[in-house]
Formats: sequence, structure tokens, C-alpha cells
Amino acid sequence: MRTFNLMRFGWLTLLMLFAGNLWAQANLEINTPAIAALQASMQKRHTELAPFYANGAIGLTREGYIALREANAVALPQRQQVNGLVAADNADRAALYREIARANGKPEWENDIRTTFAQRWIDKAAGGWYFQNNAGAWTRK
Amino acid sequence: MRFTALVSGMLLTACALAQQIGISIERIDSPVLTASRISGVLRIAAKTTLELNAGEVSLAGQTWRNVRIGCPDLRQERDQLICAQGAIESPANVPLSFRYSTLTKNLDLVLRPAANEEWRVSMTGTAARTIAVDIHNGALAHLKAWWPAGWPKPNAGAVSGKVTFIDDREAHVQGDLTVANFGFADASGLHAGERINAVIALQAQQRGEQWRWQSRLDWKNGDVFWQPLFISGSAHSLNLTGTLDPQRIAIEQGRLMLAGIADIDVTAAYDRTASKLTVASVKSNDVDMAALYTKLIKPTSQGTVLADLRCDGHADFALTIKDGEIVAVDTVFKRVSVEDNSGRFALFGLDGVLPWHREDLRTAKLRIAGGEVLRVPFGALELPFETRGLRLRIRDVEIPVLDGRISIADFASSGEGEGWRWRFTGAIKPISVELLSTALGLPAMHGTLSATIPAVRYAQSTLNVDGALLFKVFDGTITMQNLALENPLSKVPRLTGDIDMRNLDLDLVTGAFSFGKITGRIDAEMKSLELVNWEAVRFDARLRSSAGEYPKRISQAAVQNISALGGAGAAAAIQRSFLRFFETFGYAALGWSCRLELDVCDMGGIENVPQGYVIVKGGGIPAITVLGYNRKVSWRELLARLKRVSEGNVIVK
Repeated sequence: MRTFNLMRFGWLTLLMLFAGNLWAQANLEINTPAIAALQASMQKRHTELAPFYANGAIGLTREGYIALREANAVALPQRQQVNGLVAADNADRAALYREIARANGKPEWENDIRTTFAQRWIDKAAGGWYFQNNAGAWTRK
Repeated sequence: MRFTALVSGMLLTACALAQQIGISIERIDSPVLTASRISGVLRIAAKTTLELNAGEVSLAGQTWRNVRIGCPDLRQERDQLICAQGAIESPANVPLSFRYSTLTKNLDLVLRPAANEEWRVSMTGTAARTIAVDIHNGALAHLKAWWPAGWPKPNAGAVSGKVTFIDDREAHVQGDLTVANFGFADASGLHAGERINAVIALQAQQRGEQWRWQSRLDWKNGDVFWQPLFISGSAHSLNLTGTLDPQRIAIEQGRLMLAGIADIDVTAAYDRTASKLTVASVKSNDVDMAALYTKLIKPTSQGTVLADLRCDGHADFALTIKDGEIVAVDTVFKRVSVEDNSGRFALFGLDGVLPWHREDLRTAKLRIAGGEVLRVPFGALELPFETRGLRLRIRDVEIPVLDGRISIADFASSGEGEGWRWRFTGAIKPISVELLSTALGLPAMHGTLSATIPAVRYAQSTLNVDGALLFKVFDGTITMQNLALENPLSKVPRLTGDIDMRNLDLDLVTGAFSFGKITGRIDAEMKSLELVNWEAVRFDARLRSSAGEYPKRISQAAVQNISALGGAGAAAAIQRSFLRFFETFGYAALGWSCRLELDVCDMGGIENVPQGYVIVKGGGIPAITVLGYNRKVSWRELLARLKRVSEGNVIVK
């Protein structure tokens, strides 16, 4: 039994090494003052963005950002404001991926972390929200 | 241009027996309407009926195929042919009536596409044909087909009024229209308008191949979003005078009056064959900066440093476009002030001309009466600069700051290639640290700040300071080197650098930070310091008594505070012993180190002992030794304790 466990551990280690999948060990829940500041800022903005996720004006992109996909769903006087919210949220998202990669001591993992978060945001999205599928087409959840 | 109805082939076949007349017309041509392959049948019975089919009908550039018109009851009264209840049956069903005089060739045609909607076209006159279109509640969406390609399409609203076209020796057009509840949008939704009510007056006269026109638009109310601008409100107007010929459209004189914001003068020429703005000039004088900011800039600046400002003063703007591109912008500032409402920056009394040309060199001088950065005030300065395309140079600037000066020399900036980059060399001529710390809202510190900076460089979102910043404070020196600031404008700016402090007078330091009095001197170094969002996340710090002979005393309050930083216990021990009777103690040396990484501060002292490490080593009478027991502590917890300690002391004082 003991031998089997050791063997299994050995295989797993080998698999991880050869699959080039080491980055998967990144701690995505890592917390630093920068990450906390970015999360707080995104959390605060989310209450303003929520109605626009719900009515399909904005959607989650496959690159881990958000986009104004249907501006006509936003009242005219608010349209630039929503544009600004989207730009500010994307700046926070970009900084968040960079900071998580840095906090893990691996700045070169930034892109992989962004891709993983892209899928996470889509998995967590509420029903009715729009996201981009692998082909880049907008899909309603 | 003469109005001509050219009937290139017409064949009437009468069949008396069937009381049926066949009509065949090869082609009808007029300035606005052409129709071809027209065929029809006139059936004469108890009621005369007319059916007309046209293979192709073109009206002002739009073409329809297989147009069918029917009139179930065509009557003749003297020279008048009257169809009271006809209809266009294809391509859409639109009720129609007409009255046509075979004598005068006058036509009166009425289309009623919807209830309460009427388009009446009348053609009168012989020598000078007049075509008048009277519109009552005409749906603007019908005009989609005539909308210029690439423009946002109308999606709501109605138009009422009259357009008259007189085809005299020199043709003439006049229109007076009222637009109600007009809306338009493009597919992206980034160019759209809603609930627009406006009055439009248009006049045009033909001279040979050219039309001269004048128009006036009075904007009653409505909203327009033209990314990134949102324009609302009422009483705006647009007056344009210009020409139109097959090659180009010219605006010779234009004035856009945005009520309460600015009056803007425009001239332009648009090449119709190349579809390009060949030349344009946009000018506005004495623009009220407060109104411009509130109504146009603020709504587009959310989330940026411009989001919440107070502006005043006036400015003149002039912009020149050639071959579709902006080639020159000249701005004249007249006592302009800009102040961030959250107190990060302010600029007062900005005066002067800011010229810019895409290719040519421009030199000018701006004067600033004063301002503030992070509540640190600076005095009057002059900015002599040169611009050429995306390059900006400023030779020498002296900025008075508090009782000293910051000099900036050889500032050069370029926006070519990969984003903005700039560099300058500079110096800080002694500034009182007491005034500076008070202005920054920090505890008052004594000393001076001065620096010689060989180069400050900014590129790819990172600011690097070559050379050293030298602070002469607390009777010692603080040197900062290898300073770099990444993403200074982002939410998480990252500052890295090395700090070296020499011979600081602890009397002055502990006095400034209410820590409990310590007499003596220390050296400190902080290597690989990393601040993110101005909070420390990494450093390797070492603090130790300076070399040399000087009095060394530490107060009971300071001992208690140092002990408290290591956790509860040590302070209570003093209180239980005879040491509580002494206000100060002697010490031989003090030292402390902290290597911070991932929120853990790995601590040490001047030497190790079996129980931990020595922070204060006793010496003199009475002597006291303070030990640290915990090697690792959460940095956040340590900061919280420091805060409690310094706040506690303030209250005691």
C-alpha cells in the first residue's frame, strides 16, 4: 500500500513536470494589500455594473475582461458612464492578474492566471448574463 | 436645370369593344423622379379603374423595382383626372389620392402611410415648375433609405412642414420643417440621439452647377450621445452657409451655439468624390471653462484624475484639419484654474498660449500663478516650451516650493512609438522638512530636503529616478536610491528603492512620532523596499545605534512601547519590579531588523540570546535590556500595534 502511494506520488510529480503544468500550482487566493485594494475597488463597482450584466448591456469576455456589447441597452445619459465603468473595471482586472502573478513570485504566469480567471468569472456568472464562448461569440448563460 | 418630363416612347392602344386602354411608356425623367418600363391599363366601365406598373422607379437616388399603383375609381371632371381612393400596392401598401389636370399638367398627390400622417406633393406652373412637399407628421423612419451611408439611421420621430422646389431658370429650394421626438442610432449604440425636438430652415439657390445654401437648426430639447460626448439641454442652435457642387460640399460660415457652454465657428470643405474632409477650421473664443468642464468633460472622465474638479477662467480654442487629420491646435488660457476636489492637485492662474502643429516647431510660454500637489503649495512659475508633433521640450523651470525650489532642466517628452515617455534632470534646493511635513499632514519633523537628480525617466508606465534624493532631517541624513515607480496612475502604483539613514537624532525622531523618548543616534538601512499602493510589502530593514560617543538614555514609556511591539508581557514585568521607579534608563546599544515578505516580518536584534534576541542592550545606571522573543510576526499585526502605541501616547500627552 505504501509502495503504491509512493509510486502514485512519483507519477503525479512526473506528470506535472512534463505537462508543463507547473503554473497550475499558483495560489489564486493569495492576498496582498494590492490584491485586497483591487478586489475592494471591483466589489464596490460591481453594484453599479450589476444591472448592466443583467440586461445584457455588458458581458464577460473570454480574455478575462468585460465589454460593452449592447450599448443600446443603456439609457443615453448613462452610456458614457457605463463606458467609463467598463474601462475602470478592466484596468482593475489587468492589475489584479498582474498582482496575483507577482505575489506568487511568477510574473510570467500573468497570462495563464488571466485565462483561468476568465473561466472562473464565466462559471460564477448569474443566469441571463452574457459571456464570450471559445469562438468569441456572445452567449447567454 | 429645367424640369422636363421626357416621354421617350409612348404607346396607347385603345380597344373600344372592351372599353380598355393599354398604356406603355418607355421612360419618364425629371430632376428628382425617373421611372421606366411603365405599363398600365385604363378600364372604362361604370367605374373607371387605372392600374399602373413601373419596372423601375427612382426618387432622389433611391430605386424601387416593380412598383404597382392602383386606382379603383378614376373620375374625370372637365380637365381634371381625380383618383380619390387609390393606393401604391407594391412594394408597400400606401393609400394614395391624386388630382391631375390634363390642361395645366398640375398634379396634386397625397400619400397617407398611416393614420394622421400625410405627405402631399403638388406640381404646379408651366414655365417654372414648382414642386411642393407638405408633410404632416411624416415618420422619419421612412427616410432611412435616403440617409447618407455610414450615418446613424433614424429610428423614431416625425417631421412636419413644407419643402418647395422651384425649377426656374435658376432652381430654388426652400424648406421649413419641425422635427418632433426624433431618434437615431448606429448599430454599436455609440452614436445615438433621443427625444429630439428641433426646427430646421433651409434655403438653396442654384447657380450653374453649384448650389448656394443656408440652413438654421434650432434645437429645442433632446439628448445626443456621440461617444464620448453627451449633449443635452435646450436652446442650442446651428447656422450654416455654404455651397454644394458635384465635387464638394463647403461650409463657408458656420456657427454652433451650445447654450451655456460655447459658441463655435466652423468652416469646412468636404470632397464628395474622395469622401474626405479636405480642410476644416473650428474656433471658439472665451469658452467658460467651468461650463465646459461640467457639461462636456466631467461626464466623460469618470474614473480618471479629471473626474471631480473645480474649474474656472476662460480659454480660446482653434483647431485646423487638413486631409482628414488634425494638423494644428492653438489654445489660449486666460486665468484658468483647475482644482481637484479631493485635494490631490491644483493649478491657479494659468495664462498664455499653447500652440501645437503636427509638423512645424512652435515655441511659447505659459505662466502659472501657483498651485498645490498633495496639499504642498508651489509658487509662480513660467514654462517656456517648444512643441513639434508629438515632441515637447521645456528648457529650464524653477518651481518655488515652500521655502525652497525644485528646478527642472531639459524636460523632453515624446509620444511617438510605444506610448508616452519623458525625461528631465533636476535638483531640489533646500526645502524645510518642518514646513513640508506639516503641509503633508505628517508629524512635524525638523531638517531640510535637498537633492541632485541626474535624470528622471518615464517610459512604459514606469518612472525611474537616477541618482540620489538626499534628506537632511533629524540632524542626520536619509538617502533614497534606485527609486522606480511603476504604473503611477493606476490603482496600485508600485514603488521600489533603497533607503539609507545615517546618524539620526533619536530625540527628534521619537519626539516627532510620539513613541516615548529615546536619546541617542541610529543608522538604518532599508534594502529592496517595495511599496504597493503606498503600503510596504517587502523590505530588508536593519536599524542600529550609530557609532561614536553620545548620551544614550531610554524612557520607561519607550521601553514599554518596544516591549509591547513584541507582544504583551515585558511591559508588565517592569511594572512588577523596582524598575518602575525610574523614568529613564541607560543603554549601550539598540538594534532591530525586519525582513518583510508575504506579510511576515522576520525579526532580529543586535545579538541573539537563548530566549530570543536583544533589542536594547543595557549599559549605565540603571541599565535595562529589552529582549524580543518572537522571530516572526504578521506585518499587519505589527503595524496595528505601532498605531495603538503611538495613539496611546498621544492620549497620555
